[in-house]
Order: sequence, then C-alpha cells, then structure tokens
Amino acid sequence: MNADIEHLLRVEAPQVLGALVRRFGRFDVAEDAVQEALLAASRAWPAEGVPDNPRSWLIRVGYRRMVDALRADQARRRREQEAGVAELALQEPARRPGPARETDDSLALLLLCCHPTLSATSQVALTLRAVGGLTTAEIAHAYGTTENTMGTRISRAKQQLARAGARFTPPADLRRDGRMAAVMQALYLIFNEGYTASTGDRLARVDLTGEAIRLTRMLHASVPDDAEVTGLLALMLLTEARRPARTGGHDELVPLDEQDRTRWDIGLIGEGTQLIDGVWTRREVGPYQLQAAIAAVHAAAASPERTDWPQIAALYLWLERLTPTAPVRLSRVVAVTKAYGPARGLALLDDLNHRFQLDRDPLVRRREHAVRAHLLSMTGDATGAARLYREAASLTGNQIEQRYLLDRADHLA
Amino acid sequence: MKYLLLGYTPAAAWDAATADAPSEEALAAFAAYQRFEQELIATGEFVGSEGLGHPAVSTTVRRSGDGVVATDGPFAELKEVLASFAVIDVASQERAVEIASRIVEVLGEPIEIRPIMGEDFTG
Repeated sequence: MNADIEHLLRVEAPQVLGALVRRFGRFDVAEDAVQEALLAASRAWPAEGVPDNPRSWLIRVGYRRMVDALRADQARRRREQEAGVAELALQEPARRPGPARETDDSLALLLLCCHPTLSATSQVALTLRAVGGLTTAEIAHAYGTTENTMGTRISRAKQQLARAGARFTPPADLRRDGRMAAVMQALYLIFNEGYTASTGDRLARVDLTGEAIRLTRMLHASVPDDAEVTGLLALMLLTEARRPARTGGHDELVPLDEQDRTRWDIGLIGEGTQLIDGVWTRREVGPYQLQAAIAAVHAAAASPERTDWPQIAALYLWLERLTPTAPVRLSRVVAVTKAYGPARGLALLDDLNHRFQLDRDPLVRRREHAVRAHLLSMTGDATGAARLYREAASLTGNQIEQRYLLDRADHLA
Repeated sequence: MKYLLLGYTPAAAWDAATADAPSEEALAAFAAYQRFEQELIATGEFVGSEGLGHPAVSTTVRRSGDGVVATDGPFAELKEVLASFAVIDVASQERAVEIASRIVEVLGEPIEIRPIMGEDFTG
C-alpha cells in the first residue's frame, strides 16, 4: 500500500472510531468496524484515489459495518425482498454535507484503552489497534506472538471494558486522573519494546518506536500543557536520536560512550531539548521529565569526556527518589562512577546491594553483573570482571547484547 | 398546528443497501428535498427535520424483573422502519398532507402524518 495512504489511515483511525463510539456507543463493535473500514480503504483508495473527505468516507463505511455486525448480533434478520430502495435512509448521516465534526477523540480513546481494569499488555495491544490503527497481525508480529493469541487478547480486553462499564468520556481533570499515568506508561512500553526488541530479529518488526512517537505526539497535541507528557515525548525523541549510532556495522550494540556522535540525529535532539527546556522551569518535575533531562545532558556533550556527569548523577538521585526502582539505582551507580571514579561507584553499588539485593533481583541481575564487571575492570580486577561479563551474557536472550558482553569478557581475558 | 411527519423505509432494503458513494439519483432527490425545505422555512411552516440511524444501532430501555435494562436493537422488529422525521407547523391537516405529498413525490418513500397534540387538546 502507498505509504501516504497508510499514514492517512493511521491518523484517521482514532478519529473515525471516536465519531462512531460517541454516537452509537458499543466500543467493541465499533472498534471492529473501524478495522474493516480501514481495510476497505486500503484496498479501494490506491486504485480509485483518496476521496475528498476521507474521514467521512471511513465513518460512513464503519457505520455500515457496525449496522451489519449489530444486525447479526441481534439475530433477527429479515429476509423479505421488498421493492423500493432504502439508499436514501442509509445516506442520512451524510445528509448535511460538509466535513465531519472536528473533535479530537484520540485522548478519550487512549484513556479508554488504558482503562485500569486491563493489564498493561492488554492496554498496549488495544492502544496499538484502536488508536494506532495497526492490524491484529501487525501487533502480533511486533510482539513475536501469533495472530490468534493477539486476537484473543484484544477481544478479551474489549469484553473486559464492556463488563467494567468503561465509558467513552474524558475525565474532567486529567491531572488527578490516574489513567493519564497508565496512558503514558503504555506508550513508553511500546517505545521500549521497539527500542530494545527483547525477542526475535528486529528487521521484520513493525516500527514500534516510530508508532510510539507518533501516538505520543498526538497525546502531546491534545494536552500541550501537561509537563510529564511533554517530558515523555522529549525522552522518546532524545533516545531515538541516538538510534543510528546505537548499532555497528555487524548489528553489534555500541554503548553510549563509544557511539559516533556525528551520527546522532540533530533534528530530534533539537526538538527534544527544546521540549524539555520548555517545561523544566515549571517545577512540576516527574519521572519522564527527569529521564528526558538526563538524555538531554548526554545529547549536549560533543564527546563522552565532556559529559556533565555530576549533573547526571544528581538527576538520577532525584529520579531514584520519585521512582525507587532497581534499573534507576544501577544507572545512578554508573553516573556516580563516571563523575567521581570507580571506587565511589563500587561503594555505592555495594551499599545498594546490601539494602536492595540488586544482584539477586531477576529483572536487573544481568545488568548488575555487567555494571560491576565494568567497575572491576576499571579498578584492575580483570579476572573478576571477565567472569561477571560471562555470567551476565548467560542471563540475556537478546543476541546482540549477548555478543557485546562476551566480547567484553574476551577482551579482558 | 404541529404535525410529525414520519418517513418510513422498507427494512430489508435498508439492510441490503451498501455504503458506497451516493448515486446520482439519490443526490438529486436530496437536493430537491432541501430546496423544498427552504420553501417551508420561508413560509414559516418548517420546525425541523432529522435523519435517523439504522434500527440496529438503536437501544431500547425497558423495565424488567431485574430493574431497568438497556438492550441492543429497536423496540419492535418491523418491515417498514422509521428512517427520518420532520416537524411542521401548518394551518390545517390538508396543508400537512400537501407537504407530505410533495416530500413523497421527491423522495419516494411513505410518510405517516401524526398530529402533535397541542394545548387545545389536553385529553
């Protein structure tokens, strides 16, 4: 399919779904109907051309698909052949010509898809389909699962929403609405999945990173005053900016301090930095803004040596207070090491292990080993470092990362 | 006096219709109808008119043993279903029939004229 048409369809998807759900309710039926309308458009438009008002076209076809589905559900079909044409009645929605109402339904849809009754994985799947306009097959592929499994997950999620009586009405005060946090988390999970590609080969996957950025841009446009949403978008852009330098010629992972910084995307860095600078002074700091600020400090350094590590260490300490998680603690160890030397880093890591057992936490054990290995190699313990690198390599399923860790061990031996 | 003009359409034909772009005839019929509506606005006889969604997208709310419940679908399954309505305010029943006849002439589908009970008919 033509890329312009595909882009247009993905942008229109949440607006078309919003128009149908607002008028007719029945999110589950409407969501299926929109997918069918998108499919119909992707077949018809490349040959026939894009209609003058694509949104109206999609709404009309989606409405028709809804009617068909509901009639089937109501299971009381009438088959009488009557003379006369009901074309007129069917066209009633288009009776007053002109563009469909310009209401932005994307935020209401995001909030619905990230309803607290759903698990994070269901929120992500439903968001990609209902708001992102991806097909079930594309989402399944992106997450390395079968279309059947993903289809079941999505339809269960929709049933759960119906049972929970979830409504398509944006809450009055978003700041106090916990669902905003769920929306941001879902978008961030999509971004991270695309960025780190935890399973399978990356080439064949839908561009989840790009999709997450697109949806976050859309969210940012709906709530431009939300500092954390701005921070999230900045974080994604600043991280994405490094992508061209993140893997080498043989697809091997290149760590931040060895990346060719001339390959960083200056445009994305400029945009991300401007976004975070714009909200930073408001003093409504949250975890996404802090992470974006850290990424911006990295981006501002022309070379690794010129990185303002004391500032990064301070930002991590702040982040650790807001989100006391193991990955944040380990990142702080790295920043403290860079700023104040390996002895301070090791002391901090020992202290954190003593208090929080990072070396036994299955989620970060691998990274703890890699960090400690790096610190040991800096203080001259090559044998201990190599052993830990190998241990860390045995703990990851990502081949690129595994190769990187084994390379490190080999260099030390 | 106000009258409710109910525009009906055969349910089976509505079900069978597709969402393709409107035909030339349909567009011409609508244009003619809208011109007539303008005439009625000019005479002050037009109150309002609306087209309706397919009966399948309606919801019926009923009182039942379990309290008030909302179910998908129309109140009753009919062969001829309501597709649009208009409210007119005219001097006589004859005028209402005259207007409805013009609309039927243009759009081709049957119209039921229901008098709206005014203050002079409290019972």
